[in-house]
Amino acid sequence: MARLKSIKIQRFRGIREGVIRDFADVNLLIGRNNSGKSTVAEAISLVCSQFGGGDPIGRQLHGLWAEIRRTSPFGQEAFYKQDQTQPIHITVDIGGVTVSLDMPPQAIKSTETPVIRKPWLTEFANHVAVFRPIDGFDQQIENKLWPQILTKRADKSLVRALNEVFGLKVEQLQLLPNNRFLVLFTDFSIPLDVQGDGARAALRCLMMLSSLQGTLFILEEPESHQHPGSLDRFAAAICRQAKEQDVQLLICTQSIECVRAFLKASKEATSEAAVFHLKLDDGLLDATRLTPDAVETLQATGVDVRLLELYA
Amino acid sequence: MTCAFSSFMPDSKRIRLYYEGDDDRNVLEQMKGGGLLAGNVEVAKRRKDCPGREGMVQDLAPFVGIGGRAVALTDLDGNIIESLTKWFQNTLQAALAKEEPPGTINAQERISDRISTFACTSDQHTGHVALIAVGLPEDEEIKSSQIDRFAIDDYLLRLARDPQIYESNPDLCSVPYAGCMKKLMEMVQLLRQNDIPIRNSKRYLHFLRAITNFRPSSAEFAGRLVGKAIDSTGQGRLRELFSPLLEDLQIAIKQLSS
Repeated sequence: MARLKSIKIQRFRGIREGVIRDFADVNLLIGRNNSGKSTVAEAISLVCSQFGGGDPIGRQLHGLWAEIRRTSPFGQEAFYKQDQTQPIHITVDIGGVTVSLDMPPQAIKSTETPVIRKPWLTEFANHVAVFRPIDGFDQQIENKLWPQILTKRADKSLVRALNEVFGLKVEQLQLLPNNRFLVLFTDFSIPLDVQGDGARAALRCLMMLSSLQGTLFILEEPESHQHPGSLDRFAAAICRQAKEQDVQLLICTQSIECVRAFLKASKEATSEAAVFHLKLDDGLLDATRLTPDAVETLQATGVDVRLLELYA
Repeated sequence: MTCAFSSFMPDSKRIRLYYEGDDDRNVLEQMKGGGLLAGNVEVAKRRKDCPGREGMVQDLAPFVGIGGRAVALTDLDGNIIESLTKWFQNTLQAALAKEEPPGTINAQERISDRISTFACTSDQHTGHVALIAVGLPEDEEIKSSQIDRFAIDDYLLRLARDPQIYESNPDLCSVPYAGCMKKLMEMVQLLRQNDIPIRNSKRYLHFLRAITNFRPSSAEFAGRLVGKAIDSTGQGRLRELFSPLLEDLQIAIKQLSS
């Protein structure tokens, strides 16, 4: 099973140097604002995007980050302190194979030559997907994925998940020819976008996940729009589905409820989980890896694991 | 109230106090609230399913594993300091070995008669713990009370026996001080005459609560006693009453902050 194992970043955005090791099946990145969570996710995406694939709805990953940053992924702002005299170097270990990205020149290197000799690696890197809070309102997701979802008969599990997470009594989901996506109840139907933000975001996230297999799914702040009660069930649905489809999860969050929900859900799904507390000090990224047991003990004894920098 | 430790904060990283039980927690929280502990010191919560001194070590091990700095307050009981320190070292070593990544104690230093420090390293971080043995084995009044199991209760008994603190405490003063102390000693003597051992301050405090008709828990009693003492007594006298615990905390915190 292909897994992202580690990443090493040099001179990329706010990170002068940093390593994160021992990624698990479910990984939660926590830390203060500007601690490097999104930069790590972007760095992984950039390396993988060099394999040429896009996400399930055809978006280039580097384009997604450029949209968030409002800048070019390979522009001056990508370089630490905008110093282009020194190259950016990103190395990831995927399933024991090292893949590097250097800027400039934009080139991909691997311990395996050529890279495509490892089909599982290409499969993994080509299909890495990102889900941001704003994607919860992106109708492209159902418009592009619905035929595939129907083919796989994944629509029924989506209905089940929607009902479980939000206590609804949805009978069916349907995409009309005019691209109206309907949620069908027993005696009425309403467009998805008339549903609450939590349900819209959760369903689109689960749709995206249902199209993935043997890759990495990056979720930015999945707690957005979710009530803490729903978040528990949403996390359970995500972890269960990820386990079934052999998808590794990387979750960037500011929410302790989100950390708790995904640790609980990963345990129920019998997936290995880890929390990485990121701290950025003068460009040096320090990533403290915490096991679920350590998180539980620290939280129970009054330490907010998002604020570890106060203690060490 | 002025912070007694304000001049000993070269590092603003927080230091956590770990302890054995609810009585200790309430005493420490009152001390913290009364400004007797430095601003960067916080009192840890304890897990209910990990009680006692063994549980304390289990609770602090993950914190030390992330590079945290902790003070562990452990009742001396009937031990000698060396055996208590050895027990703590072995228990902490075992707890650190179970952490991920596993940690180990790579340095130990005896700071004073009652304080030892331990440096604990893993692949990722180095954390530090200062162990303080709590109790008043050298105190004449405790000795004369034939107490040979020492704990934080020794300080509470000392507070309760202080006439000024007793008289200013509305939980106690409904029974006159002299009568209460007389009755307390009568109860202790009666039990001893019947071969029932009274070897720790906690038993004295139980009798005191009975005499004064204080119904809530011993932890509540401990917290209220210290809180009222802080409210009614000057800093100088408080330092005397909490000596050597306050000095030990000061030394340990200074050591951990350096």
